[in-house]
Amino acid sequence: MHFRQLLRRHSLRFLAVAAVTINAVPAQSGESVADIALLTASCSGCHAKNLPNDDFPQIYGRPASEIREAMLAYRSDELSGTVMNRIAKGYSESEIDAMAQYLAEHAGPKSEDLAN
Amino acid sequence: MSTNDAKLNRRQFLAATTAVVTSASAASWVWAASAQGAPVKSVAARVVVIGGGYAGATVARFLRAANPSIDVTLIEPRRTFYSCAYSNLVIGGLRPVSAIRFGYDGVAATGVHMVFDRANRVDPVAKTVRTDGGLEFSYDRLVMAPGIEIIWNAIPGYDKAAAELMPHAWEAGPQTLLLRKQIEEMPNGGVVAIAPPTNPFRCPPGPYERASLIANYLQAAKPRSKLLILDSKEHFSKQILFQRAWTELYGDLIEWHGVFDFGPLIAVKPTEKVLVTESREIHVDVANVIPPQRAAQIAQTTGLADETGWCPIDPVTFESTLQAGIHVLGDAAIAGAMPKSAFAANAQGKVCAVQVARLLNGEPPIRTKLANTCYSLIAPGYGISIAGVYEPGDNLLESIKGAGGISPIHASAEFRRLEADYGSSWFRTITTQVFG
Repeated sequence: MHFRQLLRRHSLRFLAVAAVTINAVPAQSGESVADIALLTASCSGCHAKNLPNDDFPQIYGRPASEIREAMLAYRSDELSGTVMNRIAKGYSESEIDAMAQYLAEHAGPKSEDLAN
Repeated sequence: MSTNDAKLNRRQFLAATTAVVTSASAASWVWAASAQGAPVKSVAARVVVIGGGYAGATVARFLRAANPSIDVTLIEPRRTFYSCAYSNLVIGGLRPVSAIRFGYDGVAATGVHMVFDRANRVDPVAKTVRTDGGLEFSYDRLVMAPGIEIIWNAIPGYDKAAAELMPHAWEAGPQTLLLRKQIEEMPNGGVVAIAPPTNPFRCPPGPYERASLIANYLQAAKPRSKLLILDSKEHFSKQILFQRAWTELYGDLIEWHGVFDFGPLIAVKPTEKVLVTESREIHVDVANVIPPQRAAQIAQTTGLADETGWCPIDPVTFESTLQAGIHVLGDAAIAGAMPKSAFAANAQGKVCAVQVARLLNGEPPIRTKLANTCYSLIAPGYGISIAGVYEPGDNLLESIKGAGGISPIHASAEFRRLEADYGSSWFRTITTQVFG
């Protein structure tokens, strides 16, 4: 299933997950924000923050639980994407947690966040 | 990291970005990656970047985002950049050349000083760069992203003059158009040959995407024609996906010969349009010779390349292991398992920008992971990909086991269509991010 389709079809499930985890801080790998920021550098090769593109879902500012769920589902092949299954397998659960949290917190208008 | 830390960092980040809203150029993560731990200091450091391709233009503008007090100069001989990525679509007649042509106004708008000149001498001790135009630049750190150079006469007879008759089209621009023109002018029933080199070389799946898109054109416009691939290798990137698609889409139009069939290409006779392999001489109508390559000349003369012709680097900082203070990115670097691709060059540029900013600020570099995705188009609506995730090993970037790999061998038409779309979207995104 496609990420966009996933978000459409499983929006209720995501809401449920969000409700459960909304006050929880995802487990961190003991790394700093700088470490996590750099870990997301390759993501923006496709999911660039301020270059909207119908093919690549916006990941900045998306609830951390959604990103985490999607990445873990790609990682376990529970969810069939195209390239994301292969990429998600390169990251540990704690890295995925941290990246999801980071991406969720780094939305914003262009003027604040600079183009990318 | 506690929640409080996260909030503090978020505030630092906001404070830092507010100051530079007018120099819009790169991503917020750069801020976090360089501002964490210590607020960004005013270092007034100078960084010179040599080469304005995907790696060089990326590192230049992301350095500005990492710390706007860094004075960044990008030295690039050409005012127009022609992208190798996507140039096969121009050769196949699917896109105009304007689709792969970019300028540097967007890079300059981020506060990068653009110098359109050729860097011809680096003094790693004095930390200076000189140009053909007689300019001299001092640097605190230098980033080399000069790309490749073709090794002329590595295949006897294949020199610059030969390339005007048998285009390599492995540096995009006039060569791309020359190859396109030759294929357009070729009569129906002609033979096009592509001769790819041994590894390593720029864009490993590139020759095979090119074969696909030339075949796509020939099938429609000149269906009695033939496309021969005279490979100097036994295997190639995404091989099973390419070969199955070729059979499915183009029947026997494409004929691939591994090195075991005719031996490697050992000479060319450009005026006769003859390719000489170990076992036979093959007369063709259009010859696309992709010769052996190495890191571009300035990397060689600066002493950055080893005996392989490419530049060994530290896999965390991309700093040369042969010359301190000089970082090497993109196709010129030995990035271990990371291929010589535009996606990789862009990812390396972002990471290197942060590492250089941190080093200039007295902060330690950060070990991180990088990813790569390379799409190849086999026909309109039919795309495939290869991906990888990499981490620094003992002295190279290593593939993370169990991650990455090629598109499934058995996939639906919808899957192939999606990957064709994603390839196109990726190109639009990356070129806007780097040059827009």
